[in-house]
Amino acid sequence: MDGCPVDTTQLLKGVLDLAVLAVLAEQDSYGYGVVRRLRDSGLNGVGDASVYGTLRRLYQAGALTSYVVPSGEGPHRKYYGLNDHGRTMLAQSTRTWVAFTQALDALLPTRRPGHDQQQ
Amino acid sequence: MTSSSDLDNVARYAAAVRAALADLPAQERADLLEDLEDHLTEVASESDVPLTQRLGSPEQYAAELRSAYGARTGELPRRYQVVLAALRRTATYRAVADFLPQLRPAWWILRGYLAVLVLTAVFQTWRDGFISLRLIPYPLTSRGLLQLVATVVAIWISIATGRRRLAVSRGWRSAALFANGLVALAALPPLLNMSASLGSPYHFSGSGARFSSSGPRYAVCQPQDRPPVVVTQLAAVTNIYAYSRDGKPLQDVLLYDQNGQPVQVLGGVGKGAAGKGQPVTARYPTGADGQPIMNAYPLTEAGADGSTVPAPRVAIPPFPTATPTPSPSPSPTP
Repeated sequence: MDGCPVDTTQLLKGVLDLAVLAVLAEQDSYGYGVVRRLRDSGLNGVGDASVYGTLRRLYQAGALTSYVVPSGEGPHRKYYGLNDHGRTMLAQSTRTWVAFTQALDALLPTRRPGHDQQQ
Repeated sequence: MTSSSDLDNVARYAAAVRAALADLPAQERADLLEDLEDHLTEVASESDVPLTQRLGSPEQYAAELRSAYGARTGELPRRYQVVLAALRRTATYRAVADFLPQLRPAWWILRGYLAVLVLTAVFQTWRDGFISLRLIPYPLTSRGLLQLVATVVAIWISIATGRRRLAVSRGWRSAALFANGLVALAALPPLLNMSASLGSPYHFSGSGARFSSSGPRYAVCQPQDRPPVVVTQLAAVTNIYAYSRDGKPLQDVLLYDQNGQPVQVLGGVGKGAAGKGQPVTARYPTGADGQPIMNAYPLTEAGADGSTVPAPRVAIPPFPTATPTPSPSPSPTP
């Protein structure tokens, strides 16, 4: 999206918590695993440091559990998973997100009936 | 596989990131960077492309970390945040938070009024050196109309400002917040002063300590529910005339206040009642010790041409006649 005034990384900043929580709701993961999952899902603009910082913050906020998985080669991996607080956060954030996107969708001219893409 | 050069690279990269975050509080920094090395090693093992190329410079990485972690963590220590978060979850907090914005117009009105109060207090302090406020606006005084108009105008401006909801920068918003707080704070002394004067039967009670100019000066107070008879030496009272109950003018009456301090007015200031616009000066009797007696009333006031200011006409209220002392009625002589 060249020339798009809305920067994807700016958008991501606001919803990174939700995205990370969603990834961890799928399955427990470690820092780089979350980054990779987000990029695989199409969120290419997501920064490694942002994900790492978000994970640490969510953990400090008491939304995540963590445990270390030893590995033969390579480093030990610190896995994160959702606890009850994290699941509550995810549910709340999801509701907020859905309401927000619906409201914005209704505002966007290309998504309103009677307008075609060219307008 | 992790090569040693990669590890070296990770260690150096991590060290640079830590250095860039050196200003964070130690605990927060430790929490954030706890497994940075492990994480970076993981990243490094994914590809042969150097870290700086994949993640940007350590400084950029640190800035991104800071904004993802630090920005929303705020400056408060974690234990306060936990308390705050718990507070925010309570129904009371939500009720208050929902309700407060509705009070905004009320604050606009109050703010305009408080501004007038502050201005009045500032003006009084500048003119008199102290604050003595009645209820403002008080339409029964000479400045009542001015106060009323000023109050209405100030409230109107305040509401207009509040309704404009300027889309201003964060700096301006904090400045506005600061100004609001300042008005509220600055209004406290006049408010307290006003409530004190409302609570006491006297509008103003002077005390020598309040006056910085030379010599003790004292004020005579009047109850608020009577027309002003005697105010302060700073206002219109320049002399005091004492009469006995049967209307005889008394000379050299010595007046003292409740603290035993001589009551003194600024005699000779301004125009005497019968001074025909001429400035008058007061003459004080000199005591046996050579000191002038400042509180003997009435003061003798004289104009520039030497003519003394005559006593004003007064209306002596009719006292009830003295109760007759019971005397044995003369018994008729048989």
